[in-house]
Amino acid sequence: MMAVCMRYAKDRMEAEDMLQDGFMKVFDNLSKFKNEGSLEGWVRRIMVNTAINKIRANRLKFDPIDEGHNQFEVDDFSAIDKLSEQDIILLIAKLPQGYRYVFNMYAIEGYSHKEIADSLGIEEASSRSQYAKAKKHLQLQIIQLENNTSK
Amino acid sequence: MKGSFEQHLSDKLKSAEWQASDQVLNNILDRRKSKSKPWLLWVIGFAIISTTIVLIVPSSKPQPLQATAEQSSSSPSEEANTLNRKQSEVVLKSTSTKDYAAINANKVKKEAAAKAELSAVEKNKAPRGKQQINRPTDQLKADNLMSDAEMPLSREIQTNKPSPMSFEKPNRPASSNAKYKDNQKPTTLAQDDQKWRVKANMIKVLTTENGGQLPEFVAQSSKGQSRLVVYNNPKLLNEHFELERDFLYSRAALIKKVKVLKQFEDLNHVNAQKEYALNGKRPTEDIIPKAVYFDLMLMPGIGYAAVNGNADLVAYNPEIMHVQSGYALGARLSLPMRNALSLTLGVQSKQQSNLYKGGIHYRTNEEAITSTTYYINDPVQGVIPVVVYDTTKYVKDNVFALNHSNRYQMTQVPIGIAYQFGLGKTQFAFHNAAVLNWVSSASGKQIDVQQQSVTAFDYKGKSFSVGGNMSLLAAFPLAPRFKLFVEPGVQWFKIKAMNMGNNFNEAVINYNASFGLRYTVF
Repeated sequence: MMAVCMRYAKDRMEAEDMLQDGFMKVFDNLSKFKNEGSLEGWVRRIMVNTAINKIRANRLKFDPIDEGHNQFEVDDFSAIDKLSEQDIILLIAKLPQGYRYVFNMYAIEGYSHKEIADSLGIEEASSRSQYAKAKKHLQLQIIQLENNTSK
Repeated sequence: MKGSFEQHLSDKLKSAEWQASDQVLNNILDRRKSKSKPWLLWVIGFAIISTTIVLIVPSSKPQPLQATAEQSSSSPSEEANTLNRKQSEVVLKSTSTKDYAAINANKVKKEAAAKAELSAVEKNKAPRGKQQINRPTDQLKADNLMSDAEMPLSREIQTNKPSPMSFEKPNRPASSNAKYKDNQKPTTLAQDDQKWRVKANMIKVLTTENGGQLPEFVAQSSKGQSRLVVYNNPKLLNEHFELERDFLYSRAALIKKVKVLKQFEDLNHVNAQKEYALNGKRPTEDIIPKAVYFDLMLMPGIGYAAVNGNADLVAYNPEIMHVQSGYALGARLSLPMRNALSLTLGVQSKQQSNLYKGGIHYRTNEEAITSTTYYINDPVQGVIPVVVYDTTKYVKDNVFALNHSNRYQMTQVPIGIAYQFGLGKTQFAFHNAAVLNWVSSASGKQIDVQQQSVTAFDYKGKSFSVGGNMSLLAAFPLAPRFKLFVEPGVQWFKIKAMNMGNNFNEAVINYNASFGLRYTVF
């Protein structure tokens, strides 16, 4: 679950705060878990909700990011395979807050853009556009990191 | 449709692991420890109550002395018993205040009688083991039940260790009770000894007039809310060595004190209890008055209005304060049943208010219309203003300040059973009841976080439900017929008004503490 929190947090300290809050909710609401799904999935959902709740109090920020000028599309995934999970998580963590949330919720958690829009209080179109930007930026970062690593 | 990039990334990251620092685990454990554990309170409460019952409530099975008399009638010490039968003194006293003067007068009288007996014994110088103390007839009149000199034997007396008094055991003949006691009943002796120690601790609390000396427990009996304790009086036994020995090994029980908890028992009841304890003669029910109680109750209650809801609501909970408060006014009648059980029937009017306070953050899509005015210089018409309207869509942050109460008004009829226990002046009772609830009104606001709507509801329809109540009563005497009681408990009810489509459904468990006045009807 620390890995889940790391993807939503900007740094390790914030991730550990999320993990603590999340587990307190898990313990407090453990009786409500009805064994209808996997416990891991339920706990993961709580963690994600904790992360979402954390940004509800603050306005979600979509600072401009460098989308890159290349039209590169990662299709053979060799760059992804060469990087460790931790490296990728750190790259995601470096995304600005709004992009990071949209990217995580769509690409990793499997939310639809409508669900993301409802959860984060943004337009569905915004979710789509921000995701596209985040994806391009992340692909660029992955390629750059892979190149640096191979050198 | 998600591309293979997302799928590949998702597969890779879902198996990712990241080690949290040990400090996080410690923080979680610390926060868990600091949180209150209501179940732990219940466990502790149950343990305390169970221990209290075990320590305070004595065995309610009476120990008729007549049966033991028959068993031991063929014992080798029959001769000694015959000699000692008439030496017994029985004093029956109630502990009610009005009887204390009589108790003291009787005590002085008996001490004088004992001294007279000693003088007679010394004068006669009868051989040891054959001496007979002839008590004056008028002294024996004090015992209205045992003056026939056919004092039943008590196994307790035979097998119990002598009361913890500082005197030496006299040398007994081979056929004495001492040898019988030591050789034939070792197991019973050990058991009785242990039993005696428990009882002695209990009696020590009850005894106030023996100068702190522990009495020798003889027998006890209980019926309903009353209890009869019979024991030897060490004060009388200490006056002379011979007298001590005679009393110690006599088969006569000296009834020194009758502890009666219920304040309005008459002497017939006490006598009947003594008969029951000594002779196994069960008293008829009609001479055993049992108390009928009438309770006036005020039940304030405050607690945490826990909510139920789906997993999404978990995220909202920390932002909202939930306070549950309320009170109930009512009356309850307690009617005696078998033993210490009573049937309780009550009626009470209950009002409950669940307060929700805090802020709910949500966003709305808004449109702003801005207007810009341009001016055109027309050669013919002069300056013409042109207004251009522009519609801008934006997302607005909203904070809904939540501050409202859901209120319920209901009439409750608890029907249950109470188990009464305790030996001191303070009465204790377990109350368990089924509670019939009639909701007369319910009002509040319906919060739908997902729809970001808050609408008022006013539930006027009547509804009925069945709940439960469990409480522990402790009643303290105020006046002869009045007691002040406190009764903490937990109430369970689920009424329709709690689930009026509200995302925040009130918890079905309510903690409360009743305070009230108990009146003993008769």
